[in-house]
Amino acid sequence: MITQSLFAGLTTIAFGFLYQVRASLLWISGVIGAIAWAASMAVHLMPGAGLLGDFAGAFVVGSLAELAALWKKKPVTIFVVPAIISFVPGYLVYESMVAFLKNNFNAGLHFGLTAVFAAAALGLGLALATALLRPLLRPHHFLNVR
Amino acid sequence: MPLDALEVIVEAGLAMLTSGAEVARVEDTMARLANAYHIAPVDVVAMPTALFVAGPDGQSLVKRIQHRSVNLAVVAEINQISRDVAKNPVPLAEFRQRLEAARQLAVYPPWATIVFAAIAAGLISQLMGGHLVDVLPAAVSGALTQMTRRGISHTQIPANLGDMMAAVVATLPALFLARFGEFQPGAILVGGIMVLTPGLLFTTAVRDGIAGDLVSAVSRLLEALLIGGSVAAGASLTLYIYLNMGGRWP
Repeated sequence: MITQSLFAGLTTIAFGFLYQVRASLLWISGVIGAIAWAASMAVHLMPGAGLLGDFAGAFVVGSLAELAALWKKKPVTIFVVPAIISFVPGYLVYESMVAFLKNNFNAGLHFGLTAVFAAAALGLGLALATALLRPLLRPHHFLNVR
Repeated sequence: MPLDALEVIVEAGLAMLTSGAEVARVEDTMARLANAYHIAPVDVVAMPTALFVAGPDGQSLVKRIQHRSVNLAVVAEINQISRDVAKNPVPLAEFRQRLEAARQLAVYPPWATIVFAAIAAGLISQLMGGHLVDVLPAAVSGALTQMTRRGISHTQIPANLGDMMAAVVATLPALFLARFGEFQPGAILVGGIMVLTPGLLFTTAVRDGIAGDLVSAVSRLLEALLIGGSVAAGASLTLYIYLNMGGRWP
């Protein structure tokens, strides 16, 4: 689990470099990616967790990124985008693709739909984190308007 | 003079939008800049494909956006400039200069992004069920993918076709190694392809959706789906030919 989190953190950093994020900010993304991966794996230990792990991971990424953005006064996307990449259900899409190519339509649909739901879980996690934390962290944006 | 300032502000918004910033951030930044240069009232409508600005005295500017890319450095830099300018409004010429520099900003040179793509692909293959032997092939796949994508982005080939061709190239190392039992071709293939994932588009779509910018959220989701579709099409094309030629695939 620790090795996997380490790999997730390093992956985050590598993708951050690919998206032209500055190294001085990138270590934060790396830490966020590693913590989120660990949280997601911890949720996965629960029996019947299913896609809850992806949701938890995305929620952790979103929340920590909001905090980091407030701390460093930088756009949130800089921290979210590299960290969320490790959660993208690429392997599910690939398995669905191979199943379809081998005329195994049931398995293909199963993996494909799981991938879609995993992506939806990621989106929901990110959305909830932003929706909950923004009003708490930046109350001046939400009070005194109009 | 006001039109001059308005034009520079539109340039700033345009650069952010083409680099993948959220619509709310673009509108926010432009409003902040307009405020700093005492242009009022200003109304901004930003979309992933167009930017409309209505300035004072009925002046308005409309810009069409054809080319979009991912460059978080530009987003961060212009965001920083707008904050600096809001605190201390520098002369317009100086602002224009800083903006020009920010638009060309690339923190890392092109050859370095190929190395980063290789490292990223090699690492992510470990999260996708690969073993240590798969790191090197996945890294080769990632590097090839990034090289193809960069090469194509300078031509007139449509972006989606380019992604498809990059995905075709990404599958090649996995296809060559699939006949040997000790590799996990799936992990290698996914490692190479993950370099092409539209992660920024997806994240921005979600954030636009919460902010209430529905047009932008829907169009970015569609763009992400189109990219994903072309990548899957490219990868399955080669895999289909390989399987029909009787190739071994676990």
